[in-house]
Amino acid sequence: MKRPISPHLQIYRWQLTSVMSILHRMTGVSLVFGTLLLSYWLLSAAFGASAFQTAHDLLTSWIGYLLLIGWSLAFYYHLANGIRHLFWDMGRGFELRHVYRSGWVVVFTTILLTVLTWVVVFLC
Amino acid sequence: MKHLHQHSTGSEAVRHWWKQRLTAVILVPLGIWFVVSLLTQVGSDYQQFVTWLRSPFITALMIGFLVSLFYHGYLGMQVVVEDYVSNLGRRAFWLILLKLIWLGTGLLSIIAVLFVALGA
Repeated sequence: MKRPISPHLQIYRWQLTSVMSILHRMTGVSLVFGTLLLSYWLLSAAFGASAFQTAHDLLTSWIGYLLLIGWSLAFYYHLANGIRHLFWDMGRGFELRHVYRSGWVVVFTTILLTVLTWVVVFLC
Repeated sequence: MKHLHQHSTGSEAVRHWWKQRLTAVILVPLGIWFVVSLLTQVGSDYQQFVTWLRSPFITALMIGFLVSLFYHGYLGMQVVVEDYVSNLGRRAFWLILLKLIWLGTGLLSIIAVLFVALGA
């Protein structure tokens, strides 16, 4: 059966809207992996002080920080863009210029919250 | 039209859509609460963390967060698998595998919180 296929990646002109849509899914999948880390952390607390300390050392190593910074970035993006999606679900903000404006709001909110979070962690 | 409406509200796809939105709406405040809580726990030692998690409101919020998070995560993964695995047999295999792993991980996480909250 000849069905329409997705836009071909090699001849596709990238735009904010499509990139953001793909990023929503990518951040969602990364957050699922991040959730495994969260489970490990909670379990370590159940196993006692030394297991918790091991998890803490792992999470505050450079690779741990790298994962956590990535996690926070994915979290804020998925949260902000998720709220954008919920507005669309209510039938609001569908006009193209509104879609672009809310898109940039999501991008800047994500960057701002991520930077703010790590400023609080490292400086406070 | 009436028939169509009745049919669609009962369909699996529509229920999936609603469950995904419902868990999303719940996760907006609970997710923000979770991240802010993590930030307030930076620098806490084990005993301080346990004391914090043992407060009944915190235990309840944490379990509520975990339930919605795991449910929302599963619904999302389900869509991803359905989009990229077209072979129905393989799709069923991946969905069952994901469901088992995810259910196990979610259950362990909740039990871990209860262990800390109710433990000696």
